[in-house]
Amino acid sequence: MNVTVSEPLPEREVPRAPDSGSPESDFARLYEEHSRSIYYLCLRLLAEPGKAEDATHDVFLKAFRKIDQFRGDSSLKTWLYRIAINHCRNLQQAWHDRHMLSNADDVIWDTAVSPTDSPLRVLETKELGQRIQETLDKLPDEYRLLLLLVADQELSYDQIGSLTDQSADAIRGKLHRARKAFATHFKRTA
Amino acid sequence: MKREMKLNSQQQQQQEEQVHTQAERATEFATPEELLRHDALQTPVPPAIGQRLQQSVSQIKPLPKTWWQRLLGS
Repeated sequence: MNVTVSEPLPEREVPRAPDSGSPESDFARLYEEHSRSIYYLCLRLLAEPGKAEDATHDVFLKAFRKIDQFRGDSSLKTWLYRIAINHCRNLQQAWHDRHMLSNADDVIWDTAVSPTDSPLRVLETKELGQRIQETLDKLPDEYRLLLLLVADQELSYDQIGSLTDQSADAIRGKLHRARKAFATHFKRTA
Repeated sequence: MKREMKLNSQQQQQQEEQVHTQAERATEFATPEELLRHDALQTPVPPAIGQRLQQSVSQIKPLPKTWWQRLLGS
């Protein structure tokens, strides 16, 4: 897989509440800490920047309103991810704009030719996002979500299992097939 | 004619340099997760989200301080 690489973008400006210690300023901190990962998840699940922007806004607003329902038995990040995943799923269902595969494990990935151990080579930065999106769009929903969550190094397999209602062992097994499927499709986008 | 050939030669050299530069900058990712992680770092969060959120939050009745203080340790 060939794509061009440039330096990571500088951190975005985040609106800050003027006085520290207020609910709004604490919320600004929460947004500052997690907005990138939540926006990226929404972007790649919904495939459109406009929809991702609306979804990210709605996810954080929901978090602000529902903070009293946060029981503290998961991390705030996991809680935000759960809200985002549910929100995106509801949107996808409403829009009927996704091709759904009922059982990701049944399909062609086990017999796909592309190996998972060959590196993904990237040459053109400009097209990287487009190629990634094209690839993710071709994956079963389960694999797409799994890869996006595993890409967040702060999430453990247990946390990902909790977010996707399966065991950490099941995650490990499916991850292998998800990687294979991604590599197969990504190479076709070159 | 000579000038055209010279230009073509220059263009060819430039193209070769570009290819060389691209080859040097090519990066390999061992797994899709690494690629996605890199892509996430390259993807800026639109500032409009924060602005809209600030407006939306300001229209909501303030929440008791203790919830956020408890959760965020402030």
